[in-house]
Amino acid sequence: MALANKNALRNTDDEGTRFNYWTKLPLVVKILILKLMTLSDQIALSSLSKQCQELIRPIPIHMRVMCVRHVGSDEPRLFSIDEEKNPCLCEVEDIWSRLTLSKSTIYRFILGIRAAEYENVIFKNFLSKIKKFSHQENSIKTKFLVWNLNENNMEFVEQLMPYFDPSSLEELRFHGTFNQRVYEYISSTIQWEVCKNLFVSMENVAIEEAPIIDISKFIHFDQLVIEVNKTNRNSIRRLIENFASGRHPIGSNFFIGCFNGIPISDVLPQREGLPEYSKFFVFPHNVIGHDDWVLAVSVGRRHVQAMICERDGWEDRYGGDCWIPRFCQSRVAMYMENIHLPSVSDGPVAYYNFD
Amino acid sequence: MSVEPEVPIVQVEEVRENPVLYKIISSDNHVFTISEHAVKLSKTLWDLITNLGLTAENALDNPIPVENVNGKNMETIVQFCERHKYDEEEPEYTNYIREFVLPEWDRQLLSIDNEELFQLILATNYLDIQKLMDYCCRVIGDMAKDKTPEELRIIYGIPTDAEDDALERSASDSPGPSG
Repeated sequence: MALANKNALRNTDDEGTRFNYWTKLPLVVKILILKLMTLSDQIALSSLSKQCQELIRPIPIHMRVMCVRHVGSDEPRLFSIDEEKNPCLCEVEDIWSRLTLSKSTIYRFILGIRAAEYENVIFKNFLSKIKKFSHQENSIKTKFLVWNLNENNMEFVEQLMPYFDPSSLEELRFHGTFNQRVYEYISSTIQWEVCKNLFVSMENVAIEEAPIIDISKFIHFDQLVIEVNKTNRNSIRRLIENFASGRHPIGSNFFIGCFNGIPISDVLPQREGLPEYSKFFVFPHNVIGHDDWVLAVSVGRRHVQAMICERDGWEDRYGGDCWIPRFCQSRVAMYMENIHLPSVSDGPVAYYNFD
Repeated sequence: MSVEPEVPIVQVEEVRENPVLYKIISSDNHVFTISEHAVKLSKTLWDLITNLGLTAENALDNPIPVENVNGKNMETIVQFCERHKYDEEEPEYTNYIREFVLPEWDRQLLSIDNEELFQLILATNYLDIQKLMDYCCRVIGDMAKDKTPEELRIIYGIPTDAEDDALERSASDSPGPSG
């Protein structure tokens, strides 16, 4: 302990590292100094006296990233990184009331750890703490809210979502177990309704287990990406069948396409058992990103829904292997406006026949 | 209003680009010239200049006395303002992103002892120069970086609750101005 104390008081003897006029500073200057400190320094300083606590309590927090973590116990902690990349791991009670100040802002708030075993307990504890310290509901102002969903934490989406202020939200991101229950809850929230971008990565969900969605609930998004990682020949077949089944209430046309204007017949050698592709669809780079292939596109009156398959690299495009097993992921994307959409009447769009 | 300088004028930086110059007299009667762009960084000085109706024609004939700031601090302040007079306006603070970099030139300027830094802060606060205040506060705030609470108490000389209570008691026990 003595050694710890000795270490704890390093570098304080030198005059240049001390400022002995703190108590004489005007209040406004003290507050400005505190505002410019890192969060961990603010917390350390607030522990020194009640006066320091009072000074720091009304100072808003601005963080680049914040997430819920636990370190060696079931007790949740908040880990954050500010714009200058200073990390801070702190107790929830140390900052939550400041986080809920009207001027506090978190650029990206991340909830959930992928496949965390004890998250159920951690989130229960987290909820009980924040209930004590929140000034109001909808109090956390964040632009990007990220949920890493798993079986242990998805029940908490419903309980935690109300703590995030819808007026500041720009993008919702879900990774992992985005199942029917999560979809049904989240799509009924005000946060969903006001959000402009949605990203869903169903890493633990096979296509056949993916939620059945009502597309009318998605049309307000400026940008929507749904990734499905568990793909194989059967799941892609299933997805294509779903597209073609007409179950989606968009009365869509369906065809197979290839990104970048490359005739898919040039890329995919015709083999026995593979479908025939007679037409392709050119999709702008800035809409779906580089090195993406559009495997299937569903065209509605105002929007396009596309399943996009990404490959490992350009060279593979001309490889001789069958394409299906080589796709590392696929995603369904929907873009509403501002893009040129092909229509059946525009040209020769062929219907895909999987048989 | 015309005050004859008692000591030679300190020409901190020759100002060629802007013909409008103002004279400032510190509390210890040092006289400084400062350009219009530079003096605008001080809200207090600029308000004073505006209220006094100083113009390009009469500015140099009407030095502005600043009784709360001594020559040493005023020299630092004039250097700072001349250095930063053409800085672009700070971008709109988005509430999400706040980048704050203390430039090396300014760090050097503010490498002064505690007493001087304290006096400079008081002067800067009086003259209302936001950027210099930010930089001074950053220098003090940086002393706290990665320190333990025990270290912070020593670094800033922060009293304990008991000491604060004792100070409050002694302040309330002491007789007021009338008695």
